[in-house]
Amino acid sequence: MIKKAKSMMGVLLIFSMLLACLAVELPAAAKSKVVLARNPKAVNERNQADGKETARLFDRALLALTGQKTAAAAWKTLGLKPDDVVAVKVNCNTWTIGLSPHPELMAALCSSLQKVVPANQIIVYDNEAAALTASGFILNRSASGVRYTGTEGDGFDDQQRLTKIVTQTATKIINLASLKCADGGLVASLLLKNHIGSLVPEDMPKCHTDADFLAGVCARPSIKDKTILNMVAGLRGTYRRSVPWYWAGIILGTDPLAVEMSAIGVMNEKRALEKVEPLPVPVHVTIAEKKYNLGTTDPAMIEQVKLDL
Amino acid sequence: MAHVEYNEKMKFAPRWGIFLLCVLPAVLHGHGSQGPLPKDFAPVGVPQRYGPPEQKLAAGSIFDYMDGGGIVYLEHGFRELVHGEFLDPRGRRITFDRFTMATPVQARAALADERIAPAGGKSMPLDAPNKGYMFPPDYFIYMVLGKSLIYLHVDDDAMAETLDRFAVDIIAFAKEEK
Repeated sequence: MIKKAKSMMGVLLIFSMLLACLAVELPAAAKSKVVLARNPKAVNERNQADGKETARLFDRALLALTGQKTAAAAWKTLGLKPDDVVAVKVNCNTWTIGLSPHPELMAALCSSLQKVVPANQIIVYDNEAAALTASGFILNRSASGVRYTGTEGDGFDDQQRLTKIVTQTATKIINLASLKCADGGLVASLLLKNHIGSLVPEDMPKCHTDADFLAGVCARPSIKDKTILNMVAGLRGTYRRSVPWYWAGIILGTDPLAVEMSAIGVMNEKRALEKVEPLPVPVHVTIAEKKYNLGTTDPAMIEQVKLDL
Repeated sequence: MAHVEYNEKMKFAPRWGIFLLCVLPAVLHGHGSQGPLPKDFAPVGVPQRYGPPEQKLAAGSIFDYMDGGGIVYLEHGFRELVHGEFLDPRGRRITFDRFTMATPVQARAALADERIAPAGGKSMPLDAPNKGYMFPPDYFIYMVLGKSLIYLHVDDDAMAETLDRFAVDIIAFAKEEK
């Protein structure tokens, strides 16, 4: 009996040693950090942004995300180098209510980027130049200053079926979506949906009916490998389709799905206040996680840092 | 400067005529007569026409106009969208959209669908089913005339009264045409 107990103890000892070894050799996967930063002074109730306060919001959020003390160091942490060309994909929403990123926010982002790269190596783009103009941006395809352009003039890559801004010109990408609730099957129009505007125009409608196709856009090599920052602009957002509120914040992270889920969480907080049912996890986001490994939707694997200025 | 721009816009008088002759009367099921215009506003360019994805019109499909939002309209029997814009001498803009559905019932169902006419709308004292929205600085109205769902929008709610008057004029014109 004693002999049996001793051998059992031995097995247990070996088993626990093995577990300890595994714990050492296989550390828990790092969580995806997401910064949710708000500044009520950044925007008023008439959708007018304050340039200085918006810049403060962006700058603080970037430092909080990277743990650095300067913008230059923060961008370098994210992988930006002085010879990079950075493409910033925005989503200019002007139908029905304006949900485009505020020009003040773009100015803050571009000014921060210029701590590392020259202005002309920054390209802010959407699929239609007219959409940028309607959102208050001034088109610029010249050799000086930040470039603002549509995809119309650059052509498309035949293999990846994406704008050449993404496949050829840019070496780094920032995905800048708007805090937009879509309800229905799509649930929300955020980071994954944003790159629809990088596609060849004839492929765009597929995203409306094919969740797998939509999920796979951000998995295309040029987008997946070059993206250094995912951001949701939410000075003004919608928590129900076309119903706006002034959240007065931005959401930043390197994991697109963690940022996407955090943005949906922000909408759900507002929906709870307004006694509206919460939004579910969109099907295309689940596919992006399970099939394309674009990030995590697991709340346990997302570290949210909340910053209230 | 704004006046110069306005005068430039007025050079498009023939286009304006096209708008009057084709768009508003078409909205109101009439032909050849002048429709109402918002006071002090002039049309910008020519109206754009969008169809369903399988039957694109001159400006393309509804997805070219509003991206994924178009799916809901298709569920309600969407046939055609006519989009027009008006500018006043100060550069302020009014958006006019007419969504034609297959039947009047579908147009009314579209108005009742919060994925189109969102939550938060209030019924206004207009002689047509409608919902009005004050989301500063935006102000917009959805209303139903026959098979059409009409959408009127300004991005400066100081123009709410102008938009209301435009809605009333459109409805009156529709009744006259009938």
